[in-house]
Amino acid sequence: MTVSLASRSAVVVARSGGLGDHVAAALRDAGSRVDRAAPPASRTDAERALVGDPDVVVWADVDPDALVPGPVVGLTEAEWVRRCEDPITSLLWVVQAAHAHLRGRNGRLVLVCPSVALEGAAALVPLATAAEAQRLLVKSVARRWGPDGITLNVVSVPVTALDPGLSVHAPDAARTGPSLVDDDPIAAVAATVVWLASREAGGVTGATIGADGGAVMAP
Amino acid sequence: MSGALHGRVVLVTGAGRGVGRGIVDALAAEGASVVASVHHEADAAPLVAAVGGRTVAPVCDVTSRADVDAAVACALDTFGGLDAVVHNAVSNRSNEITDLEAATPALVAEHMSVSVRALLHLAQAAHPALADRRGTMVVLTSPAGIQGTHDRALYGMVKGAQRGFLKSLAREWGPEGIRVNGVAPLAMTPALERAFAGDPGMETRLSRVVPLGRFGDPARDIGPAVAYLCGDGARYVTGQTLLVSGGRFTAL
Repeated sequence: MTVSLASRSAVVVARSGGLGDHVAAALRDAGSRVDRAAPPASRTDAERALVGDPDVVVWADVDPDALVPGPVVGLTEAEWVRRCEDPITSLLWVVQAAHAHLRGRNGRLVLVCPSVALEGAAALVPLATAAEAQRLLVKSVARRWGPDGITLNVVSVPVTALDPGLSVHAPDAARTGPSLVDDDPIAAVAATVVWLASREAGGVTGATIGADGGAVMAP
Repeated sequence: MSGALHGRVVLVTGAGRGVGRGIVDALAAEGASVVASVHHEADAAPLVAAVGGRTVAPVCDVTSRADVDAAVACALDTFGGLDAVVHNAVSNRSNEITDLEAATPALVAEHMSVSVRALLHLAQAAHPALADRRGTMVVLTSPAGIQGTHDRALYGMVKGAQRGFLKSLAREWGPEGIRVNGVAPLAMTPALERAFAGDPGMETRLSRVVPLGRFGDPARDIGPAVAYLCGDGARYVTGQTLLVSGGRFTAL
């Protein structure tokens, strides 16, 4: 079955050059109109980013600084805020701004985040803390917006999809390898996002789908 | 009680009322020396008078790194070391039903500072002392941080953050012999007591969905779970979240 997103209008929130590029391309290939936005710094910025009236919103952003491994005791407060707290509040502004666009039209919100956060990751504490906060925000809002016909879901991805060099530096980044062999894991991530954005996935909400080749297999 | 924590020093945040106060009672009953940090100075003297034993109650705003440093110093100066840190403090507005779509940056910052930023403060301030004694950290998270919650999404968000933090710190500090765990309680709190007082049928209705038929008592149900995680019985347990909910929440 080929998923079609014809007549859909999506916004992909992600800085350029990363996973967001692949997700945006996959959404376009499936027929959706796609706009891009950088992670907003405020509610006002978020509302501006969604000005195209999307019915699909995808968050696929990770701050490259958050992928720099290091111990908690060595972090400055400013580093903690940038790597952990800013991504949480930025997603929150997007969620707040998205509600008016998504309700009543089978709206979709998809969060892409690193699967290693499900198990925790030494040397990547801010990244994992942010990712779990984002995931629980999505789960809570999925409960809240279900009556509006909106679904919200999470795609958990290999952290090495976010930074292929990371496993060399962070001991927990790839401690469990994928069970599946896939020549193009990024394409597999994007395909999962596309499916969750489709009408066919309308019965799925509040779910965390591991698109990490079976690496984590969290319950 | 067994005195399982005799000779241990435990710092508890948000100890003045509710679940935090129950944790202090349970720890003291097991023989621990307790640094029961309180947010409101008025709670300090009554707490020390009631708990007695080896208990002190410094005032500590966990959103202030200086206050957290002072609370850790209080443990070292008063009792000569620190074996465990229990982060229980939450925003005073944590029980409010939140209109998420209209939540202001100020409200978000309040939730984040007490539940998330404070974890950084506590971890950094306590690490040298915990490493000295192969100690432990316990974070009071919530079932809302596991399952989500439709009417308190900010609370679910910060409680989820705490689970990501504790799982990761457990892995980071494991090689030093420091354990990090969480407790997710369903507990009778002062806010819940007030709500029940205003609606006499509410407690019965809500208790029906709890297999054990009641909300947890802070001192008799929640505190002992924290005491267990602080003690030697849990020496091979780290990175876990113990649900203490009378069976209300069973899905992980």
